[in-house]
Amino acid sequence: MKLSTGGDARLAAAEPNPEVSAATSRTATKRRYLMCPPTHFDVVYSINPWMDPSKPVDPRLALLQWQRIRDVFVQLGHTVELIPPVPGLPDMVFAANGATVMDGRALVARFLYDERAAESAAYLDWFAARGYQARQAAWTNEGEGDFLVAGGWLLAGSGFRSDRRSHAESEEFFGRPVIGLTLVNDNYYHLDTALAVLDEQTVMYYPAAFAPGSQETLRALFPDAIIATDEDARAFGLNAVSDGRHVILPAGATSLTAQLRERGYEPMDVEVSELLRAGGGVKCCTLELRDPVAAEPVPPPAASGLSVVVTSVASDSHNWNLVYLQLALTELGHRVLNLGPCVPDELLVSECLRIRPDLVVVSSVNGHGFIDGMPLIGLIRACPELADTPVVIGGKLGIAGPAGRESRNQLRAAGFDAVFEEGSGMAAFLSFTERLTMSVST
Amino acid sequence: MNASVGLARSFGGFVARAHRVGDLVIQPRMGMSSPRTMRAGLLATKRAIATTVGTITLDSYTRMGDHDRARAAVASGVELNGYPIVAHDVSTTRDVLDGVVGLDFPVQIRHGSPCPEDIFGALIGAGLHATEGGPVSYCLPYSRAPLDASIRSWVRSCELLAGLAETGVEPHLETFGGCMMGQLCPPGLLIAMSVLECLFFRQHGLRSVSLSYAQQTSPEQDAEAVLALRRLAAEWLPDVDSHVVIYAYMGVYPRTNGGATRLLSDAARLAVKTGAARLIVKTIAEAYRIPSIADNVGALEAAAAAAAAERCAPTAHGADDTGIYAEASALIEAVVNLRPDIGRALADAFRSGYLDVPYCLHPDNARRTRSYVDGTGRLQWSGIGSMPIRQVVRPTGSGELTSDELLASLSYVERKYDNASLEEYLAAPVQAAVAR
Repeated sequence: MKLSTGGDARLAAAEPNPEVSAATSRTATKRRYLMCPPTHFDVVYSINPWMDPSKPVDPRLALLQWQRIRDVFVQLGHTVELIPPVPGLPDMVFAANGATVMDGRALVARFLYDERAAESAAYLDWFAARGYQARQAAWTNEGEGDFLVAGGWLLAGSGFRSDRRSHAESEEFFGRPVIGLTLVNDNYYHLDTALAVLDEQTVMYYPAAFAPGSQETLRALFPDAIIATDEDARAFGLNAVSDGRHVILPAGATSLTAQLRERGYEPMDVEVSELLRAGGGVKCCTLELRDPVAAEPVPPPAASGLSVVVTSVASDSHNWNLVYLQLALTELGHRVLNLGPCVPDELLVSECLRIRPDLVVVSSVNGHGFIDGMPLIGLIRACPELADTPVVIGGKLGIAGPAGRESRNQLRAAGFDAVFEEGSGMAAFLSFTERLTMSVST
Repeated sequence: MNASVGLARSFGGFVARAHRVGDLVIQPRMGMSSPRTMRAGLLATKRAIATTVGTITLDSYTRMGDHDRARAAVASGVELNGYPIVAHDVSTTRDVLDGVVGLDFPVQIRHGSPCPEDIFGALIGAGLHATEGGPVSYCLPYSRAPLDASIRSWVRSCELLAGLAETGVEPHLETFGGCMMGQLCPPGLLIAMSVLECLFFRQHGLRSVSLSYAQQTSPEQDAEAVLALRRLAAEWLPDVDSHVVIYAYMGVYPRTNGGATRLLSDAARLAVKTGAARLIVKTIAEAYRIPSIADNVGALEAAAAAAAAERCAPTAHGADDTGIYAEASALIEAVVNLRPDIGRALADAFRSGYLDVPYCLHPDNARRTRSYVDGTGRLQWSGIGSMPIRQVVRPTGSGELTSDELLASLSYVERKYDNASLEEYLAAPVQAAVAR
């Protein structure tokens, strides 16, 4: 059936579909998927034969095709969670490669290519924030690109991306037996480009993508498998997602579509031409979250807190005072942007203009707090937008011990709302912040 | 022949000679903005009762490349927190050194700059040839400069310094990699950074280097780390002159004279018992202010005395193998296997989180590792992010410290050493709650 009628599909539709003439009736089960919008999608490098950076990409079309896939899942009653896309990571749309997830445990990918390496951090953070027992794989492991759950097994591909040693690691991590399969055709560089799991007992695959020994394994394990033709494979038809009944797959895999229908599945094709320019299809965009772990992330602290910028002066390279201030302020429910040490004056001003904080905290302990703080507050107060923003300074402000009342008065006269010298400074600062919080919230 | 003549006239050669006769070379951190005071500090260092080398530590403006502000401060007589070597004329610096620096008293420039070409140019102009730092160790913890930019600048700076070998002197470069944030960085990563930065120096022409390690929270763990560092240096840098330098504790310093002196003595003992060749001291004034010349001389002599005592009556070092060597080896191997160019390998390693310094706020640091001081005083990982050490390290602890726990970890050493001098402690002035 075509997408346009996707809205009619129902979950667990036990009644026979009139379009299907098969003896077997298939049952869909409710799924939870993780997807990543192709906001930064592009082809700027080539790490598989499908990618040609010299040909322009249509990002709008890619986004439309991706939205179609998501809409189909939602219409089928499945839950789709989104992970925020990260600028500079054009392949992050292929969420399936980010991890393998089962029983509340997430084994996050370790990508083969540097170009994708930074995606792992985003996935680790996402899973950790939601209470998964998550860690990054020790060996190269491209998540559901190469690891597919079929019945009690974990089918695991290697040959191009995931390291064979990641198979043993996954077996240990998930406590499920791993069936290793060797890929031999670089057009089908991930297991999920050559094989799709349809339900607990059934898979479809393209034999020529596998080494002879692996073909034999697949024949023995899945004697009833649906076999893809060359044309099906070229159309990326095996990069498909099944809920046990509905099989969403790239358009153009005509033999697969017919076989699926014959066997009682409901194939639903979607156009993925633009995504395929990066070597990805339906499955690549979809990571299955195989468990009902707490769906919502831990809520951020009460919105009643202040938005605080923590910074140092340009010549001060100390960190720990800033790490501590951030922790202390966060624990009190404030939201902190920590600019770190050695912040140029202009950067501090532009960040303040961008986020319009409720409070700016300048902490300096290298003895230059006074001589750097004076011109800095001048620059801040010169911006009309920041004329009334509370700005305080504290720490070790002079090189010969406490700066003295004269220096403190000069700093206040120049525009700082308060000056906290080392010693009792922290308690006074926290009390200042508390008063400010109350005045902002009333 | 030429190389050994060059080494004999170099910083590395001086340290090697002292090491051969069993002397620990002791060095201050001092830096004053006035040329007159700087010269007095060098002379006092030279005359101290210890085998010493001199230090000129630069000010924060020079470190950041803000030479205009440094010049303005010099012109208006504002005191800076170090010697502005670029702002002062070459002739001024030569006058500071005249009759002080020599074969018997090499002087090293200490700075902290992520992009040190100007500084290297100025020190070479002044006739010096020993300095320190590194493309990672002077970028990540102490600047906002992009790591790539720092690496490119350090390539050029190393090549500039290495060029001095043609003039008949062997230039020396010390890595600051054994410090990384001063505290709370577990030793495996510290010594891996030291080795990796020295590999970078070697790739860019240096033939005489030193590997650093900053004293941490546990004497036993420190001894194991320094022995591992020496073993790694022998394995990875067999073809260059190298020695190990110990930094006396770089974190929150004890407030009592007794506590500060004992901490420094422990650093000297650590150096002697592990075969390190040089020690950089801290002073008893550290907790309060920029130390005076007299503070520095006191620290140099106290350290020399503690080193002599350790040599006469060695205390057990009790360094079991808890896996520091294996952890550091895994990190070094993972990084050098990324690319043949060490600089690019370091950049890739930070990008992918193979190297990840706990609590470091720099935008190019992955910021997914965490560490803490365990019940026995050892530094441990509570989160190792993506570092490829899962086979050798089992992270313990819960991950995130609260602000109070962070303060407690940061002041662990201070409390340990001050509590032993409790009466003196109670009489001492109150210190800043916010740690350095």
